[in-house]
Amino acid sequence: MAFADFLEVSPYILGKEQKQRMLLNRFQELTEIHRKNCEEYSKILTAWNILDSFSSIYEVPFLPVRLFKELELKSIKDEEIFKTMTSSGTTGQAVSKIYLDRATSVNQQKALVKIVSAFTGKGRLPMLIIDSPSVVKDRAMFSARGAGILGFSILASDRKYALDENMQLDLDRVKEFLEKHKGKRFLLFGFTFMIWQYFYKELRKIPKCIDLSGGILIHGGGWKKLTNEAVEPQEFKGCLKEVCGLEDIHDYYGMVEQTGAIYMQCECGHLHASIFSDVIVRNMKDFSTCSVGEPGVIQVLSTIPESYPGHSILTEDEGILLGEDDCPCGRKGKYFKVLGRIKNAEVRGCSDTYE
Amino acid sequence: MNNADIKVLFGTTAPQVYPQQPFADVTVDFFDAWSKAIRQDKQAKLYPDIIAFAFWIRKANLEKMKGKNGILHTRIGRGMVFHIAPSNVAINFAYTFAFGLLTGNANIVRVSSKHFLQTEIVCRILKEVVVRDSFHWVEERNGIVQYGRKQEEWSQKFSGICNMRIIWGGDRTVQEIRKYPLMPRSNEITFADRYSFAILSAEAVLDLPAQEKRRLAEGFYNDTYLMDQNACSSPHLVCWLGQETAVQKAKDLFWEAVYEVSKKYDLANMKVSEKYTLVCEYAAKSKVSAIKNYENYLYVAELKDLPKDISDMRGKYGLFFEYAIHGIPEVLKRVTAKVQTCAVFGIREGEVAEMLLEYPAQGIDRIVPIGRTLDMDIVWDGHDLIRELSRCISYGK
Repeated sequence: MAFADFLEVSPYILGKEQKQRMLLNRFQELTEIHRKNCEEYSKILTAWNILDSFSSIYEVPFLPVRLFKELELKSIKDEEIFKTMTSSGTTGQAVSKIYLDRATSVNQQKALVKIVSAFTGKGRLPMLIIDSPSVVKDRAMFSARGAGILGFSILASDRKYALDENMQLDLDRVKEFLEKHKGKRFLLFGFTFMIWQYFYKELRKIPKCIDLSGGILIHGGGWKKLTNEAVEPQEFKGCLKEVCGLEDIHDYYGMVEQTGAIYMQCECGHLHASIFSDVIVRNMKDFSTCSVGEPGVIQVLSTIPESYPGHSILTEDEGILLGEDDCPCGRKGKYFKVLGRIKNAEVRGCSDTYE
Repeated sequence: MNNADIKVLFGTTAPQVYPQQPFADVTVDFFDAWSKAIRQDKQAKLYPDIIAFAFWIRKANLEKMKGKNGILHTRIGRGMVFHIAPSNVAINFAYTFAFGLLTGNANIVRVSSKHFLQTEIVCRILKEVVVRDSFHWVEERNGIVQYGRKQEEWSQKFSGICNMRIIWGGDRTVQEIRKYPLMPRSNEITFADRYSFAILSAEAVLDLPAQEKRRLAEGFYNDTYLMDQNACSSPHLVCWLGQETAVQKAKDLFWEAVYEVSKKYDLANMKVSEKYTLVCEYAAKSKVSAIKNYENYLYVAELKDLPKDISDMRGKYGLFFEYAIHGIPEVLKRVTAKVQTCAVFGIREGEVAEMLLEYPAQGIDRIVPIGRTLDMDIVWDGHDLIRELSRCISYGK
């Protein structure tokens, strides 16, 4: 089953059985593609004695997300690399390197458009990016932040950056944007922490100086930094509403290793798997599948990656499956909650331990 | 240098140097009193590592050690020993302190800035014994201190006045402490990162009654999982010696038994994630041909070949490599200076030692039975600490 078939289906309409059938077919195919074209992937599958055919998507092997930091995994020839994306690791940390060819890159954008449009409606909207334009300057190496911004940019008819080169809020530019699109719906996009740190905290100083009640905010990138500041998702929403009237706010879950197939948060506050992807929550004692309500580590499956073996990845995020096909918002598919990163382990032993 | 930066857990930061002969009666008496006090202490009894230390310093054991070590009467402590104790194995500060004191030296032991209850308990009992039994010379000649890694002035000061420096911790620590010069005649002993492996006789494993098999697995668990497979002496590679069919059977029996024991291991999610990543990485790099898993508690990866340097095959949190060998020399050929412990089962330790002596291998400093790799001793990492921490007086003809 080709990727194009998934573009024909509305992202949140298929029930469990139909969706699983489509996905199994696609993941079977993707596993074969990567086994054939990525030597490292093939060796890993052989070492684990993974067979060629699966009876359900739960049998599709998964690579640990960290492997993309340790190894350069690709299923294309070097001359076919269209762009390389990297995760936004802090200095000194290894970063994931994701190799894209033109087809996979285009498919990422197509999937993203389909998913986001299901929330914002068809047609492009003006978009205010809560970040600095400098993030996307270096196009040779895409950071996760840059990639996110560029990815979402294709959904926009007109785009403006709310922050200047120095991450300062440019209120005049924001006001100009609002004036220009007065009375129309518009999009806001940014990373959760950036929005809080450089947008909300500035607006708080001059509350109600702008009215964003006509906007839809889509934000992602995780809560880790905000948890450090003890900001809860509910508080994040409440605070934004208070300072600028913004009410339509959607968090999303996604990662550079599976760009495009993001998990959008619905009106009920649940993250949803679209037709392009699926989640499985696994028990780390034995990798068995967790049932609804049981916390575990999240495995993500994406129908998109053809240029690198990242269609099935075990993340380092903990989460809980909340249900399937029965979210009160009406969308079909699995819906879940992310609990946060796996905690670092306290390690014993004596190799280099001067503290 | 600020006195506020240093915490004195015992004794003094300016020890009096008063060299004595190794295993001097007064020293042995002190250790025996300390040993008894520890063994009678309610709080200490909760820590098997503290109790093991108490047994190690009891008179009978020290006398045995002294007896084994031949003529010591022409030897005397070097003066003052400065110790950098490791920060992960709580009790090791006590052993390194004992090595220094037993050999007749004054000591400064810098313990980790990480808080360990074991350190607190051992130091408390030490203070009590010194007061109760009037071993005041012990506190005048020794100091157990704590200061941050960043408080370099203290390491520099002690390095400049010690006659011997002992650095535990690993390669990075050794580099860091080596910045501080020693006096011209002073020396140092460094305990750097090491690698360990095991050789098992398949026949011997097959011959074991069920109860003994469990004991062997317990021993292997203690050698490895107990320290997150991260101790220098924890085996990473298991070499199987024997006929092919016997090896196949023995492997299954052994790993099944280890798996049963490993179920008590604290398998944090992050450990699984790291271990799974690591084994996939080895597979991707063509090092292993097959991986067997016992849930996520135990991963056994079969090697395609023995690498040139076996210390490249490093597992963690219960990831082991295995390889069938036809004779012990086959693996000795792949041993480098990095290799510390060879743990054996069903093979005479002396047999391996004899081969090592014959075969000019740079590595393997100790050969011990499975289950005993973590046992501390005064001969460690190839160093005979009794001799290295004392000087020899020659006289006459």
